[in-house]
Amino acid sequence: MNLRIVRLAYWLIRLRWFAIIGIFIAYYIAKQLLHITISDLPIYSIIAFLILLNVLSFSFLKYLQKSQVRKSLKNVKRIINFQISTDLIVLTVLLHYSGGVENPFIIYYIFHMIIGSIMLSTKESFLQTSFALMLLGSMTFLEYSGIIQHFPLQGFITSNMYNNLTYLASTGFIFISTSYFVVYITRNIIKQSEKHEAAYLKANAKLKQRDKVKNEYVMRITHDIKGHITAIQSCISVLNEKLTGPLNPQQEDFVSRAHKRIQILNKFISDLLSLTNKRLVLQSEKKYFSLNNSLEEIIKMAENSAQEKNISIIKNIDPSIDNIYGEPSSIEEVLSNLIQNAIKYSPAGKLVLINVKDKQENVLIEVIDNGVGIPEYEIPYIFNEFYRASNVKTNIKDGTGLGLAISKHIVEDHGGKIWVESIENFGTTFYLLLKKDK
Amino acid sequence: MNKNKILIIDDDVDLLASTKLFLESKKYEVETAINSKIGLGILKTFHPDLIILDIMMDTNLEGFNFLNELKSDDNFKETPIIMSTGMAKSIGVNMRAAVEDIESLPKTKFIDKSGDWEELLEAIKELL
Repeated sequence: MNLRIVRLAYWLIRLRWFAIIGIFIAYYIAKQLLHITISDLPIYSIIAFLILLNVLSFSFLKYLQKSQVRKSLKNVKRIINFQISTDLIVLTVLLHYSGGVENPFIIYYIFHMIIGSIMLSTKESFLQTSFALMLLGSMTFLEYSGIIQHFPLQGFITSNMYNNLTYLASTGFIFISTSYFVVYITRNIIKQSEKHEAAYLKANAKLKQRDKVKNEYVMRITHDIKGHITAIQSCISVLNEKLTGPLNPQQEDFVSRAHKRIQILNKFISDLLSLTNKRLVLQSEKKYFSLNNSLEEIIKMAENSAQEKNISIIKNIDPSIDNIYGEPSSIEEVLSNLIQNAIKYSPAGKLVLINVKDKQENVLIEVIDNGVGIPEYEIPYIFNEFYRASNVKTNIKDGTGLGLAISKHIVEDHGGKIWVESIENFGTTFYLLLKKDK
Repeated sequence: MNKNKILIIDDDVDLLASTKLFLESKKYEVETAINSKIGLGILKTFHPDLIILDIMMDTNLEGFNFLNELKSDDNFKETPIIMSTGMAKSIGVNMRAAVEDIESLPKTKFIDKSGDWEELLEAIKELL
């Protein structure tokens, strides 16, 4: 609600710029093309006054937003009320100098009433409407009774209507009833939409809260499980490393199986913890850090597994790229995920290519492999939690299906993008677009 | 050459027993403690060259308290420490930042308790 009213206040200021241009164009058309006589000075003064008013309102609104005082909201409402009231006065003055009630632009009062109804409370809307009708009524009465001068639109209205009582009475009745009716309808529509918005916001907050509780629950359980798993892995390692003496071949085989499985399970739990936590802690500590250094570090760590498969990692980084803004360890996790995947899913002896390109406000990182690839129909799902492509489930058993989900979450939290292109049995390229600055 | 001495403080007995066996197989002399109080007792007679400390034991502060005591004792404040945590890396807690509030640590390494001995061994070799 709070933001909505500020947004509307700015909208009103923008509308007024259009109104100023509109007045100028209408004036020009009336005068130059339709040859209607309108006095220049009042029109120019009004345009100047409107420009001044708009600049002042804009600055005041900016000031209020910066000051962040509690009273701001009330003040923003005051600005809106003030703007609508002054607009109504300006419109009345404009109309007075251009034919008064004879000018078809009197319909523009209705615009202000609708705008008021959108922004203000029901009471304020009806007050503004009554104020508008009072202004129009006064002008008409004063012109009718000859207290103020009537400026006819010569060349446009041929017979005088401003002093025709029947015309004034019927127009007045229609105008007044239409005005109040329009305000009533607009207020109803706005109230409905406000109600929907409030319900939507409430439901959304509730969902978020539930998701948080669920995540905390998963995190607690996972953490407890992890303690046990770690101890089991450590105990099995004692046997696997034959620290307590030799095993017979069959014992060795089964201990080795158990050891492998527990390693996978442990990795899975770490990933699950990491993902859940990233969901809970949205604001991580972001700062400027060297992308190049991070990449060097990750490649160094990946080199062991690459050498085992005789895979070479080649890095091309655009020399113009230096520091980027983000949470270093999270970004490193993403890069490490992608590079480790590239190695894991490549046959022995292939290349893994890492390109880092400068894209003005962003950096584009490409991790290219000539590995098993991803079947085309599965590409849309690979960033889903627990999803593993069908062709790797059978080939490689130690994936958890969480690495890419975590990566995607991190990248999106950084306002970046991650996507993939892949041809099965030919290779895969992961693209990572990261913002350089905040 | 004297064996390097390692003291492990962790509240998980199974982890203690297995890690002790592993490190002994790598020719280290190992003592274990199930909590920081026992750990402090052993420290004075054992004089370890390195301490492996579980940060989050029964109470979240136990590891940190132990660290404080250690650093206030001139005999041990230079002893390198490997701090193992249940889930530092996986939940992205910056342990170093958390500890740096207490005091600067000369020789410290943080590892995730993963049951992965290779990682532990590398950390030990790095610090000794």
